[in-house]
Amino acid sequence: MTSRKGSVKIVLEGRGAVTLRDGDYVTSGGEGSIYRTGQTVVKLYTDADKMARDGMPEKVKMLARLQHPGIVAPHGLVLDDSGKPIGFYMPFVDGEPMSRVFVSDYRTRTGFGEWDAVALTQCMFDIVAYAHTKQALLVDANELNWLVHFTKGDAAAASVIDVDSWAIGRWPATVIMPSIRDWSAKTFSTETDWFAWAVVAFQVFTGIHPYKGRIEGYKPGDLVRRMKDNASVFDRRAKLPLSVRGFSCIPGPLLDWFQATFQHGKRGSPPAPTTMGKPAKAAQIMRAVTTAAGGALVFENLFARAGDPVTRVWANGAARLTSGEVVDLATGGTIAHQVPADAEVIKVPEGWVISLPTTTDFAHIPFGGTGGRRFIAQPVPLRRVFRAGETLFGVTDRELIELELNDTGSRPRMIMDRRWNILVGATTWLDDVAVTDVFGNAFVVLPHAGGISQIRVPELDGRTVVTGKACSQFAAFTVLDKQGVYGRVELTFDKTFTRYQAWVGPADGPELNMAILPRGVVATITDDFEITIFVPTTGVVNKVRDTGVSTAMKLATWGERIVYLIDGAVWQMMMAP
Amino acid sequence: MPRLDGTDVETHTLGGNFSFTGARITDLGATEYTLVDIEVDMSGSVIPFRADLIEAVKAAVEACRKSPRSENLLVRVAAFSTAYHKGLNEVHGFIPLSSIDPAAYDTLRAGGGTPLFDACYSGVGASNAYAKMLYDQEFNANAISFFITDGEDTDSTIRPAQIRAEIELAQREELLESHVSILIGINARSCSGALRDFQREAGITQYIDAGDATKGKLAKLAQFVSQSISSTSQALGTGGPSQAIAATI
Repeated sequence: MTSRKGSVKIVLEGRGAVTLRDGDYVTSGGEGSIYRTGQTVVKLYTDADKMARDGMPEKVKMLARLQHPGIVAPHGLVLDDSGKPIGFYMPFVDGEPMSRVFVSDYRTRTGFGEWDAVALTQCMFDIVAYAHTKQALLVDANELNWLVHFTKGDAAAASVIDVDSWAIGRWPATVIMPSIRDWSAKTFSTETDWFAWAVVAFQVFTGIHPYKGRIEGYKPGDLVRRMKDNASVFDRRAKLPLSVRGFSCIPGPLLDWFQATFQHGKRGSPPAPTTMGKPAKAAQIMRAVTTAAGGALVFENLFARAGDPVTRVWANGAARLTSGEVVDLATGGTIAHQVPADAEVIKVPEGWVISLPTTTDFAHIPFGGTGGRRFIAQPVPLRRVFRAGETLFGVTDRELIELELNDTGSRPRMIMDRRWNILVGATTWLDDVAVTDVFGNAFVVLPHAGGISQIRVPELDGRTVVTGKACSQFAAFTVLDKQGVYGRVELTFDKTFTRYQAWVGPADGPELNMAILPRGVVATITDDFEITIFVPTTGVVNKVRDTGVSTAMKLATWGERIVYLIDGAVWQMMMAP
Repeated sequence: MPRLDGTDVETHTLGGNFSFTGARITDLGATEYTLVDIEVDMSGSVIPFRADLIEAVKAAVEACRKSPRSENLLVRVAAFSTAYHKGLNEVHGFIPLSSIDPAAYDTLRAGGGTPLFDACYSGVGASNAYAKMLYDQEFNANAISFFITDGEDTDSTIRPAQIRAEIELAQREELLESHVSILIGINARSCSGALRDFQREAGITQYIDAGDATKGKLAKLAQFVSQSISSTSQALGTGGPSQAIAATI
């Protein structure tokens, strides 16, 4: 090696002489210094004799045989001017540290979505599998030794660096990071490599290390003890921060494998991330919060699709996305495409029925996707369609007509059932409920199993009804008075729907952020950090304090479940058992 | 109850009549954070090298963006001087790097006395209080605090024993995986003995004499701060650096 002030002359084996200058210097570590010259990275050992004693020249030659675009392996030795090996060189690879992809802020900024996570982890999977076919072990493939290559629109890819630390041939690994180590293993193997891969891949999907979050009895820094105890995020006692992404974003077979690996201590090769399927058992995410009852809320991600936010959820489990696609939350499958925003979706024994206001038609989609979408003409000319629960009503100039799907043959029809006279022009149609203003006297139009009741409600007189919801024996409205002040009117009816108890109070704005369950439980969020859960018929009220609760959560129901929309995803919320 | 200052930052009160701000916990996108608190002296004696000192703080914060764990940092920067109300001027509270506008540091003006003890107390207290909020929401966190000064305390209401109590409280409650606090003297050779005494009395982890306030020394100071932050954050995410493997495991 010829050394001049500010420069080092070296020979790259197979490439020729190169001069490293001060400006090429990148960093130093325990073993040596790193330089970058053009698209080549050079590692020079501080102690060239030790390099020789460790047999590194031979190991570098062996590693140079690894030919995979995702493996940043040494390409050859670096020699001094006497021909003595003093280091090795490898290609320069530019990428983001893997740890950034764990964080939702980064993903939002760059548009990195769930499918990118699948592509990225598949790429990592392929690299690990390739190394194993070459009888090499990565051993210390922690998140700092993985790089991400991602541009919106292209498939995410990974590279692995620090390849000279791999175990290959007669050279064992010498270092490993505690957070990816399989503490149950006696020796390093392909299985310990897959465990390390799993720890990093799990964070790509969910944002959290599989042995973090909180479990009673463990201190925040007890990572290794948790790993040794198999006390993972899948533990029923585990409580996780709100920023954890739902486990449903993990392909089902891989989610099952993660759970078996992290929680039950099983080891082996994972299924490829691109292997799709439903998990054997849905994993639950629990997040502890402070509540008046001293319990905890449980949040579970039910559905999210990158780039296509959910805009509405019906109580039957149908959800409409921004693109117009309607999906079934129970299966994740598509019910229909290009459904207008003001359509209504009901579930009937024969499948799904969708009212299509823009075409004045209905569409019938049988369950199971067989038979495709069949269009049904209106039985009579309708001004609009009104939905209450799983019943559609046709609104004519003077009547409200109950409609029923008749699908006895190849040509389904909507047939007319019961009908009620109504002042259509004076009626405001809301969610499962309507309000008619008869010359200044308000009537609530409430469909129920026995038909439709039109109940006189003076509390709504003289006020403009802005929004309203109803279910079972409960209805709620936000109203605007003549002074422009918003208010809330809540009505709890008796079983005959002839009498009611009213609660009238203030409201911050027009929004009615409320979920009304068929069993009579109501949840509402009016302030950040607090959700009020109450049973109108009994008067039981439970205010749950939780800094995770926010007015940005838009409440809805799915059967007897309280769900909410946030950031275009559907989540379920419930009290912990 | 925190006071909402906007869509993403809340104000919280501390003992000793101090307050600090931090990003809303519900808005955070990572699952673990390193809290970084930098308290920088803006007393009158800093005037000759104020611009270079501010550049050093900016450089340190900017360098953090290159850290592999840049998305896991929440950084708070405050200046201390008796010229400020209650001796402190929080430039920004604990917020993600992506939310920091480095130009905000240029607005700092030097003058007045040195409420060093108050700055240390509020810095440690802010880290502890924010860590408690993170802990309550199941986030993992550790912290590193820097107190950069060119001289001894001249005007504080807080005593070193109170700072020690605050540091020990955090250790007892184990809300943070670790909390390293570093007192840095710049251009402070004449009072380095007194600063060392204060460091020991207050229970601050380390005292570093960064030397004269030259551009080169301040650049090294910035590098030291950013590297300390990066390694602290990596320790949180990975359980520490790669460790030597014993012959048998």
